[in-house]
Amino acid sequence: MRLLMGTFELLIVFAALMAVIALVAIAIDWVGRPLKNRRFIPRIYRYEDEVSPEDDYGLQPPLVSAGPPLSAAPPVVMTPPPHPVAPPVTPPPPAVAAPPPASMAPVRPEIIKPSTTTIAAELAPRPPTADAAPVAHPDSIAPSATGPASTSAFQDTIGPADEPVDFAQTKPRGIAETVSEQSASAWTPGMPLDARVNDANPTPDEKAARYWIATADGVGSTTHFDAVNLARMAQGKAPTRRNPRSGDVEAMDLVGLRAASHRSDVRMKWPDETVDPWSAS
Amino acid sequence: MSLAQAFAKGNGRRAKWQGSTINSLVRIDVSTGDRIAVTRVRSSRLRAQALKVGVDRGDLRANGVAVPVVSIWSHTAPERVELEVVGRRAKSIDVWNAWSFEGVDSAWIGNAGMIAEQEGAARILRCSDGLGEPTFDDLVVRLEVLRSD
Repeated sequence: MRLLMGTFELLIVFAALMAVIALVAIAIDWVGRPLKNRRFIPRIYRYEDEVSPEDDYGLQPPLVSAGPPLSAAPPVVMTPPPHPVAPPVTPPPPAVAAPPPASMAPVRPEIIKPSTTTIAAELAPRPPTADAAPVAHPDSIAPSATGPASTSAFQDTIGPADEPVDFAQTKPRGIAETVSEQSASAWTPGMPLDARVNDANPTPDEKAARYWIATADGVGSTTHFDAVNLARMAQGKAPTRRNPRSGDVEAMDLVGLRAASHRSDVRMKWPDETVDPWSAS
Repeated sequence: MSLAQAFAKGNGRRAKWQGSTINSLVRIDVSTGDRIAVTRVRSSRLRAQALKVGVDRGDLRANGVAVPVVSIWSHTAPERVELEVVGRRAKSIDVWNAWSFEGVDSAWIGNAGMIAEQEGAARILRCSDGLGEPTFDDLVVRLEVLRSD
């Protein structure tokens, strides 16, 4: 470069580059106001109805019960198995690119617990040879009594292609449970706190209301709460008490609600600033 | 109607129940340097019980810790403890009972309340936790203020 241009020319080129960058920045700042307050969302995380990929064994990724909250965890993408073997002659059917069926709606990682039998059947890696069932070939899927015939690549990986697939037997139990939850149009006390209703995740307030309703519903003979507070809780409201020191009415707090899926994940707590000087902690 | 509801109908601190005056909170005048001796006479074996003591201004020093509100739990504190009032502006202390049930530290709900009986210079506080019917033997403590002057 120094051979072709002198110092003066280099300075001119540098200044021109700086000017172009400045003009671009000004243009973005001026014209691109709608771009502000927008978050970058990776393409693979954009759709909530995408589900976990499978590994080489057709299993879901490792499940951690004490993982991050569902709202914070990026939804994972449902992709075909990593090594799909297409039939040598038949071209891949268009069903491969079709959107996932309704039963593949997003699932909560906490409740996906493949049954023991399913794990044992799936631990053997799929043979990479041609005798393996073509992953996405519609002819390889035998319709079953309990599951609809499908050309989905995801369903093809659940069981051997030459046997009728009984989805009720082979699907991880968590998925079956989740599907029923997903299709629910209203939350009921038996359902997880973070169950999706009408394809929408609950807000923190909705989760709190669900917690109080579930707690009121499952209250035993010995309980913290009197009839007034139980009536409040049945409506999804937090129980209250009157603090005679301050004269204020205090509502009970919930600790750990954001990440909670079940009622046992949440801890109730009254506002309190007392200290036990004799406690080891 | 629970005792908490009875308290809510009144001034929040006293209510009548079967001819007795029940307190949700007992307020005692103190000044800096006073010591509060609390002796546990009885506590329920069903669940942990606590006596909580809070000063209006300043701190209470107990076991080397100075905090505004002290919890004296039946399962952690010795049978007899002393709290020292620290702070020139301290005028009074509040005393109330609490309990732990299913991991929740509660007070002032359900059938919680205290019957305060004077016994010489000391007070006997008979406390009912909020669970079940009012029974004022869930926690019984003897509380005496030892004046500094």
